[in-house]
Amino acid sequence: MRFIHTADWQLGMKAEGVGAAAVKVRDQRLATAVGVVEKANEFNADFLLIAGDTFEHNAVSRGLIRRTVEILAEFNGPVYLIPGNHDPFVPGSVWEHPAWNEKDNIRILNKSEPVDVPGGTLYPCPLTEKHSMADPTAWIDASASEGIAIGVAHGTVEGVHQDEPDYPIPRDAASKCGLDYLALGHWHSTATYADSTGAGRMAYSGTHEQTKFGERDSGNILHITIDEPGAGPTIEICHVGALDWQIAQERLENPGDIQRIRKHLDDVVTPDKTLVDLRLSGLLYAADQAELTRLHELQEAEIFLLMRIDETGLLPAPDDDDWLAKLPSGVVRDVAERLQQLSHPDYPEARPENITPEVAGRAILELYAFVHGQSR
Amino acid sequence: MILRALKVKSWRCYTGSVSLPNVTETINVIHAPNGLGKSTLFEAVTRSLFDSHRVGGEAIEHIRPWGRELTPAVEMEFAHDGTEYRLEKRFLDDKKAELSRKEDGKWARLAEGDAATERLREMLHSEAPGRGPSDNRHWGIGQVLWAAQGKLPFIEPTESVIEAIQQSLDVQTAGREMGEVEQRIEAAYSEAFKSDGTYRSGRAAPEVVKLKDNLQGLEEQRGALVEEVNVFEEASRQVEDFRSRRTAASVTEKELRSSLEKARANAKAYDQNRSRAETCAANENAAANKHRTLQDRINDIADARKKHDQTQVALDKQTEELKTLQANKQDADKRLAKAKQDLAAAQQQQQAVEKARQTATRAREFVDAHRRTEELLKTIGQVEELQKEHQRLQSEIAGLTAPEKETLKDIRQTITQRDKTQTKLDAALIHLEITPEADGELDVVVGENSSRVPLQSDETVTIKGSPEVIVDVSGLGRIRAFGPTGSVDKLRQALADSESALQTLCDPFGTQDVDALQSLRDKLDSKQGDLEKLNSKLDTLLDEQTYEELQREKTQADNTCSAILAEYEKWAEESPDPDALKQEADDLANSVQQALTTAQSERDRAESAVEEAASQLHEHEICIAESKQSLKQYNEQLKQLQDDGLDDKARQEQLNEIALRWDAEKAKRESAEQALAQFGQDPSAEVEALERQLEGVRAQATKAVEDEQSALGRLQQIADNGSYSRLAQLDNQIEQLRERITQEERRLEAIRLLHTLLTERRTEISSTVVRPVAKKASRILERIAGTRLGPIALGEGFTPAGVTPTLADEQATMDDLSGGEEEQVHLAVRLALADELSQAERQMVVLDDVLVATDAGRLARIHTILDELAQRLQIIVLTCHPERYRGLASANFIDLQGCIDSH
Repeated sequence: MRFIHTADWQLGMKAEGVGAAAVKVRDQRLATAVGVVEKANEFNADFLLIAGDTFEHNAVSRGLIRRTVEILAEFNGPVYLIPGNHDPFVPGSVWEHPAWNEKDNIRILNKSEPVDVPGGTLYPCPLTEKHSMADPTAWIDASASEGIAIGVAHGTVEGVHQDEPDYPIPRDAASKCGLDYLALGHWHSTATYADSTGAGRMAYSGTHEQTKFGERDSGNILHITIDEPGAGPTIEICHVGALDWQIAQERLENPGDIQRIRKHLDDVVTPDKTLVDLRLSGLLYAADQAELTRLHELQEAEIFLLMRIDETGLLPAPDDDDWLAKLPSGVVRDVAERLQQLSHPDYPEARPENITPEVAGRAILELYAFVHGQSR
Repeated sequence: MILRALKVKSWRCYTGSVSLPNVTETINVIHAPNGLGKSTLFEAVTRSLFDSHRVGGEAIEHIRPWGRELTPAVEMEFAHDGTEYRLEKRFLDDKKAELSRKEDGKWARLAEGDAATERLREMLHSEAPGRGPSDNRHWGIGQVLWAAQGKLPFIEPTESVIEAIQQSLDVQTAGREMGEVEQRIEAAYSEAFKSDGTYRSGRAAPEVVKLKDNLQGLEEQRGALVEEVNVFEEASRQVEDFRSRRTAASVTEKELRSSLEKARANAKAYDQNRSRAETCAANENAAANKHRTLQDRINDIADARKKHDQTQVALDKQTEELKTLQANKQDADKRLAKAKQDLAAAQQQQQAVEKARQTATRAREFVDAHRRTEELLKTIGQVEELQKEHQRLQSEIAGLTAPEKETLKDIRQTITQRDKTQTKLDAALIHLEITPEADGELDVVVGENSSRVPLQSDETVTIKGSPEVIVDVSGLGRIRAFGPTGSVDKLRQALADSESALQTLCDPFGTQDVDALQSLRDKLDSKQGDLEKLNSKLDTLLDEQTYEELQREKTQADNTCSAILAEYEKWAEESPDPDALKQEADDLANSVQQALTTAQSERDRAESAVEEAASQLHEHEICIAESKQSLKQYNEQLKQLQDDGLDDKARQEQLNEIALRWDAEKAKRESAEQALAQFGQDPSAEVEALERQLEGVRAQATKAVEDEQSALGRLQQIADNGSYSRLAQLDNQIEQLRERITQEERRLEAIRLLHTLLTERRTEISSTVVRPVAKKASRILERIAGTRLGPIALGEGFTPAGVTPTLADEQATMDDLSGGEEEQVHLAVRLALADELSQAERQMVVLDDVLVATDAGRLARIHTILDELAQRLQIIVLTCHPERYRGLASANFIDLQGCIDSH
């Protein structure tokens, strides 16, 4: 038996924190779904198993549902889906859309009862509400199963930190239920859980496409092969995600450091699939001001799918008096010097109300622009 | 700048021209009497320096000499920044502006027209006045250097002047380039903020405000979308609820249906048992009724037979008793007839009793009438006697005339009054007593009684009169006696009045003798007393009756007696004894009454006995009839009871047979009832209840299905909206907007900080500039006015705010100072500023008749200071009191009159 285990497509998600790029991010999730189906066909998988949260919410647009159905229909074998906590099987849910019934290879498993699949039996654990403290796999008893027993569930494996138990699943759920493999969904990072024999009988495939900055080990699907009942599954992790979410936390300490960032960005091969969260901190030298401007120009050019520059942690270098020295004596220079004092994180005196080093630093940059006849 | 030479033509009072060819670099005191154009001269200087030659308007028209068609013109030579300049300007007609510079000892034209004016403004840091002529706000540094007449206090200098002062003080400002930076900062700030530091609003609002407005709009949309998503989820839950209800109703229906089937089977078995029990009970009741009927018949036959026999025995006995009762009746009838005869005899004796009582009554009436007749006869005689006496007394009283008591009292008072008056009159008359020695006579000529009075020897004659008494005594002559006059006439009148009154009172009685009158009164009173006593006696006799009534009563009594005597003639001979007659009648009545009562009692007893006997007889006859009737009925009843064709034995056998059947049916019924008791209550009620429940549950299920379908339809509609997808898009927009707002706010905060620091720094610099000027001005003031006034406080624009007297804790405002002190403070500040401005080059200071309130002592000290300042300043004093400035050691006195060319 071989099948593809995927989960948490979260189609229609908001993609918070990426602003205008959210539309592209959402589109990419669909595009990657297409890739998953292609991969499954490529593997000649017996079936495709989606372990919940195919959609972000039950109230996503009906067009998105239909588009998803069309994508899944491209798979050469049967596709089994269970509702997850984001898209639980409730009245009005995405699963009630008539499009699902139009394709023969797609089957929504909305009941906790064994289903025959090519090569064995599938024990689905569909969710019917968003939260629960019940183990969704509790009902499974596959000990008497004659073929390969595969469970598919959506929840949190015990041991994963969470504030409140939410669909808890025992770490030995696969063994306890007599399953050869338990396909899990809910957590977006790929993770496998070995049984007492060391066989990986339980795994999170993770989301097929990274959903946000800082999410690790995502963008994968699992290609599972089980030769016979009781045999240890072979788990092949296949990366299918297209988006590259890069957090660039750069601390500038010396003049010219900012050029390093520029070079890194220049080296990005697929900027149109790359989201960059550039968090600048440290000292900005006058000589680097132009480079910073160029970064902003790069941002405005929208070469990257997303380029976010956070320069609130960037302060004018305290001993960088090149351009200050060029200012004639007088009010403006006095103001510039005062701003430089206020922008220093270790400014020893009390600051004026609401004036943070970031505001003072920004004021210096503004003043720099005024002095040089620029406007930002 | 300093002035070198000045020529003013055709300007106000100058129809010709006035020329100041040699103005020195130090102090120039230009003096002239009032009206000769000192201030006009100053005006010509300021207009030529700061006004465009093309300026027009009413104010400029006034500079033309009144009533003339002349062209005002100024020619001025001055030095500025080490260069000599010449300025020529003409106003109103043939307008001209030309600025020349001395180059190589010759005047070379530097600028013409507006360019010349502009060049001058740059030199003097002045600003164009806009439309219309200039005033001291446009004089550049002249604002502080030049004091026009009456305008020693100066307005806050313009920014360019302050800048000039700052430059003089070597305070570093940004310079022109940095000035532009400041302007950009100001512009950037003004673009976003109002003066109070808040964001601008309306169309001028900064982008962040518009972004926030957009954000607010989007957030409102988001709220609606979130609500839509919530509605979707709520609708979903609602469908779930309906499904749960439908499922629950379905389960309940199934359970109910099962219960109903069981209940119906029970009900059927119950009905069968109940039917059997009812049949048995009916049979049992039929057997019981039949048994009861036959038993009753048997009992009734025995009872009827028994009663028949008893009645027959009683009838026989009653027939015997009837004879006795009939005999008793006949005896009673006889006793009654006798009692009635005795009663009739007693009733006849009652008539004699009535007659005796009537006689006794008439005897009483006769005796009473006879006695009354005699009493009345006696009384009538007495009355008649008294009436005669009464008539006599009335006649006597009628013959007596006597005054009433009141009249008598009045007569007495009148007589007393008259006598008193007479006495007073006698006392008032002149008495002439004559006692003649020989007889004679005298004539009373005047006196009370004019008459001839005979005189007798030794007999005194008194003649009275008033007011005089005149007598003629024969042989002697006339004697006249007189005295005081007056009261005698009044007394005479009073006496006459008294006499008259007395006459009136006494005339009816014919005498004025009071005693006689009293006697008459007493006699009359006595007679009237007798009459009253007689009346009293008469009233007693009549006893409230009249004499006529007494007469009528007597006649009636006589008539009564006559009538009785006609009835009882013997009583005429002998008066009867009413009491005895009455006793006789009473005795007879008692005797008759006793006999009557006895007879009546006897008769009543006899009647009762007859009635009782008759009653007993009647009742007995009724009883006999009833007994006979009963016998007849019993016979009839027996006949009916025995009409079943059975004899007693057959009847008893039939009864036993029915009893056996009854017992059998009873056993069957009890058996069926025991079977029913196993069911408890009637299962049909449970069936009905279950059927009702089932019906209700079916209705619920139907409603749940309908509700579910309806909610599902609604849910589908909401789901079709794809609200979450729209929410996702909106959240992305909001996020973008928030990021932009954050960036923009940070930028604006930076601008605000820049502006704040810029303003603060400017204020600091201003303070830095003001402080040395204040210090210098204070020093000048101290030299003028001593230490009492203390240091001068300057505002940011160098305008003096007041002083801080050394002995006071608080600052004194300018209003607190005297006119002279205020004048000296302003002068000190101007001189201090002028001194600062002259650091780079000598500057012209103009004082147009400004020290008018300063005393000579302080003016002398001012002269010393001016002399010192003249080393760096050109000071031009315009005054009509040149003598006040004679103390100026370095002064060049210019008599303006000598400079005027009227042609």
